[in-house]
Amino acid sequence: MNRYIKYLLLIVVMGLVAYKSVYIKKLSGMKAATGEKFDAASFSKKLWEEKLPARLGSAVELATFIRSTQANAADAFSKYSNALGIGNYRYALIKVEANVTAINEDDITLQAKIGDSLMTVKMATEFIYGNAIRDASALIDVKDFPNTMDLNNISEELNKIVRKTILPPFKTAVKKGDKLIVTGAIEINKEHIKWSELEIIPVQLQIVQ
Amino acid sequence: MLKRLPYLLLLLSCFFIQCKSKSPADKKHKIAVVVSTLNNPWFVFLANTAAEKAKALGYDAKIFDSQNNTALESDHFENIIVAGFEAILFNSTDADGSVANVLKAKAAGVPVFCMDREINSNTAATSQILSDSYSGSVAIAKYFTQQLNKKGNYVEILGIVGDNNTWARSKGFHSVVDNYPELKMVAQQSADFDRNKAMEVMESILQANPDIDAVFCGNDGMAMGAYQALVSSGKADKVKVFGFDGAEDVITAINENKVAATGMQFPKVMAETAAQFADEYIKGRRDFPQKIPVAVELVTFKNIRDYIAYGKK
Repeated sequence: MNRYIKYLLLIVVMGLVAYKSVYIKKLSGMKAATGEKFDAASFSKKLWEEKLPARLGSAVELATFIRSTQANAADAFSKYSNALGIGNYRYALIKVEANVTAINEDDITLQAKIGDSLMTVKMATEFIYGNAIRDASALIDVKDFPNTMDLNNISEELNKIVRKTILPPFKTAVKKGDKLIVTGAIEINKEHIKWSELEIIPVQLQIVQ
Repeated sequence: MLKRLPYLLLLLSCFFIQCKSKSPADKKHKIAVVVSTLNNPWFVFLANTAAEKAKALGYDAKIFDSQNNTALESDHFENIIVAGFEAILFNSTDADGSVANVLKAKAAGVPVFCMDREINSNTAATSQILSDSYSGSVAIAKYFTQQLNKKGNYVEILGIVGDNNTWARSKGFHSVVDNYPELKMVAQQSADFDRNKAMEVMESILQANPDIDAVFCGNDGMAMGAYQALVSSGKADKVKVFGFDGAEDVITAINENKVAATGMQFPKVMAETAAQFADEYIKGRRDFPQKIPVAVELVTFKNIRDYIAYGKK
């Protein structure tokens, strides 16, 4: 009899050890495990409403930025651009007055006067993603955010504001031939500057005629 | 007695020479490079670059291969501490599991500089120099969505489930593609960042889901594995493959239009920054940012000429 109790106890102990040793988590559960404490939506909304407008007021004219990079790229990037991390991507807040030459599914083609010539520029209206607004604003210090996902979420929330509040009324109102004043963020690879591929992520849009 | 004086003086001078050779100022400092695996060329490059930079800065450098095993990594840390290494340039095996090892080094006064792979602690490592995997995947996902015209069936092959990069890449990717309801993920499976496993995973996924348009892989090794499976099943021309890393074979494959895109990481930048930080720490600097993101660049057929494996031309 004692032997059976001993075996039973042994099985219970082994079962307990096995139960406590193995944890099974769903892949989706792992995905949701990080970056949940910081309220990126509220933080970004506050940033957008209280701090970003002042920055937009000091956005550099696109023509000035291009001219400056052609004269001295290092100085121009240092003066007008920003990036939270190490690397070749730089981000700048720019302002441009331009004519709408085409309205496409995912973007709008603009023509702007840069110096003596006309330049064709794309303005995104569908794919508003990435860190352009966050980094160009220069309102975030990487040292304040030891959790990387918080930084990612700030970008995502700022982009969401553009996708959900800035673009829908603009897209219904804009027509080919309109003149726009666009203030937005651009991403430039400082090692390989390709102005022909420039894309503006809009932050403030004004149809002037 | 006078006869013995020269011998005594010689002995005395030997003693002083011996003392001088053992003085701390002349002792060569040692830096350890602990890498998750040397079974992947990307990590070989990361470890070698870190060691070379440490040597260039005047240190003895030794590479320790953890073989993706946290227990082995723990043994390495213990040996490194006992052997008197003064800093560790660290590529972790597990975001959670490696924290204890880093804390062990911290308690022993050995600073740890993480390279590429994040650990889940904001106080254990001295600094973490990390690829911005999330943002890199956002850029890939944008291109992915454009290439698929916002619709189609796709597969996602994940890296090691315990690694933060796996989820940073997956989350970045989904932060874009999930906004397009006609893009349907038909399978999501882990292949542990391993090329052979990815090939097996892809083969089995293709049996259950023969009608797919694209596959997003958490690294380039898995992208090449998935591509091999697609070649074997005769679907390589139809299915677009997307990777992440900027490894040599994928750069070649993009140039040959076999792989659609990858996210170029810069292991050289991360390894050299980590070694530089370790040098600065040994020389007295203490104010390091806890995490520094290193930009990941989108590489496609359009801009492939600007890049070589693991970096920019």
